[in-house]
Amino acid sequence: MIIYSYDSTFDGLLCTIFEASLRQLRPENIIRRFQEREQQNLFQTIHVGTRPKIAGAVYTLLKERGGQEALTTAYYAFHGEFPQIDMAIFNYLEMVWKRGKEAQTLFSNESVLQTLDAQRRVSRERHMFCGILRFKDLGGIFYAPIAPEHYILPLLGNHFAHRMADQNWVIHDTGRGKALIYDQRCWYETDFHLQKSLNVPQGEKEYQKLWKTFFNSVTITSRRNKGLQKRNMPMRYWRYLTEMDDSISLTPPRFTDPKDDND
Amino acid sequence: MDTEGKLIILADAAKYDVSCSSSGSQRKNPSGIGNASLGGICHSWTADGRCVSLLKVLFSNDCIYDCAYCVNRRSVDRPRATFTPEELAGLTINFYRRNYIEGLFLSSGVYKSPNHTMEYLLQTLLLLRQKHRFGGYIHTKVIPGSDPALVDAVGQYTDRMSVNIELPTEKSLTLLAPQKSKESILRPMKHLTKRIEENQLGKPTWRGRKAPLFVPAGQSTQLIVGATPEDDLTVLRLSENLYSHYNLKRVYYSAYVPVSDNPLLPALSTPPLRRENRLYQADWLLRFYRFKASELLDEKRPYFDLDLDPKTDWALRNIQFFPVEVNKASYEQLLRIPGIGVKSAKRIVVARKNNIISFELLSRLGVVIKRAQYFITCNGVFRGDKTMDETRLRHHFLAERSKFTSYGQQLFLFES
Repeated sequence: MIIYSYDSTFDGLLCTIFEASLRQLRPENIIRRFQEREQQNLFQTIHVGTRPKIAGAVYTLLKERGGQEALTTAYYAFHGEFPQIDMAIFNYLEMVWKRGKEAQTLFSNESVLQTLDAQRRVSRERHMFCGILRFKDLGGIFYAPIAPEHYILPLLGNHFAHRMADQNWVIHDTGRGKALIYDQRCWYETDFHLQKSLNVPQGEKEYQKLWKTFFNSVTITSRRNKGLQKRNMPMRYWRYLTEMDDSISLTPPRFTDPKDDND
Repeated sequence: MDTEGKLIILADAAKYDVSCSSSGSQRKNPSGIGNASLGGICHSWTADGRCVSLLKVLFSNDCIYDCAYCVNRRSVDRPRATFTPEELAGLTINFYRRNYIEGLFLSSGVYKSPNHTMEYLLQTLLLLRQKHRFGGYIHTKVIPGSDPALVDAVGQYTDRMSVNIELPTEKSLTLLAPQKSKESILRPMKHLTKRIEENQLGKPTWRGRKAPLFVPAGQSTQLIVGATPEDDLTVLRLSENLYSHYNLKRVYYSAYVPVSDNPLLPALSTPPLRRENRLYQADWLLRFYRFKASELLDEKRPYFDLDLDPKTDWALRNIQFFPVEVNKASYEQLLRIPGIGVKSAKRIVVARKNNIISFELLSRLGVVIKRAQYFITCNGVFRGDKTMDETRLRHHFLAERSKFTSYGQQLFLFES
């Protein structure tokens, strides 16, 4: 009975698969290295080193068997914060190896289902953040703080690199202390902490105010429905939303619709 | 007037247009700013629960028309404002760079004349696409009565175009919008349909080059519900025709919000939101569930049941088709089961190749068992009401519903 521990990168996880096939030994569990202390020593723990070449080879082999989609599923699930997800992905990829493309339809297999579920939730949160992330122009650098449930940060890189191709930006996962940095050529991920609070230029404040103004004026008050708003956009996502920032005060409306009851 | 003042007036004036989607277009833009994402992205949700995807404003609310149902009609005393193309383009870019929006929704009241207005819209688009090299999503309204040549020009720079029908019959139109006619609305729609089709055939132009894109995300329209006496059947038939003959991507329904005391209009205390909701559900059934309007409503029953969704209602009226065995039913049959949607029907078809489908698996595939169990068997097992009696089941569903809501309220679990 053994446990594999790896360095919590996707490459590392792929290396555990290689390790397992080499030893012909299925692990009882797979843990990330920082979790080691939490584990009791009933089982033998084996550290699996991450070797990019091996990870690449495993990736290519799995892709040949199961197609790109199978691997993308695993990659997304890997970024979810779910207990025991590593072991589920391991089992899922083993299925991909054995059954190829069919693996994705084995809904009665617990690990497959767990992986597909995780993938769905992670990609939903990623999609959400493609919309609700807000940049602040700090003078040539656009800075966006986020606090997602799952570790979706690296999954946002390509989207914003394609979209905001001609501006420098930083996306900061404040909870995890990580950031993506983009310099109009490519993006990379790094550890990131703000030393002091940000100085927001006056021009930026003007746009924040304009946006909040717009946001408030498109609401139809006779259709008011806060419940629906919260269902579509849960309150845990409101933290960094410019339009929900109470510190931005608006110019009192010079004009109101007589039919609207203002609130 | 400064930009902020204009924004307050012109966003407020545009908010009754319900079109919101930013989907259906995919544009890469390697050098400038912005691209279009095929599935569309919502950027926020307002306190009425509707999503904000595009910067939805009127270019001007200084309208020469006097349509009775409209907040911006000439005869009402309201502050009027008009953007300049530079101002609006600048605002769009700056909102876009901060990821506030997915693009621009550009509409306008008829300022001076239809062509005059359309030229302003075109100027704004040219500024965005050429000067700012903006690749994001743009939805443009066709101003009824403007020159087809202008419509063609605008179409090259926009992702989606729409002509609003607003009122479902000519009679209502003459009554409430005397300056518009059925002809002035349908002509540009027909024109757009033709041009979009030509473009999709990809007729190569000069020297075999591919034709420039023309309205790649297609055409949509909007109907106002509850301002005139048309029944649901009339509205739904119109939509069905628009989808099949005009190739529309979407028909939007807007519950009439009382905006005037005109005696020609009904005095409503609240907008008919429930009715709007049922129409949307039926619209989805037409587009994704292979239903026909005639199956959902007929002359004897021209309105939807406000207490039961159209799909369950259909199933109850056709209870002889049920229960259906999920392990054997065709995809079309699965789609007709209440509680099973497009996604779960697709998943069932894939899953049953390798698995026998049980209730437990069904629930993990995303099926709403509570609803579906009355209409299905899983590997021979039936969990619903054995009588299969329409009236009895109808009572059961209504009772279920009233557990959560008192009559006349919206169906929401969490009211703030």
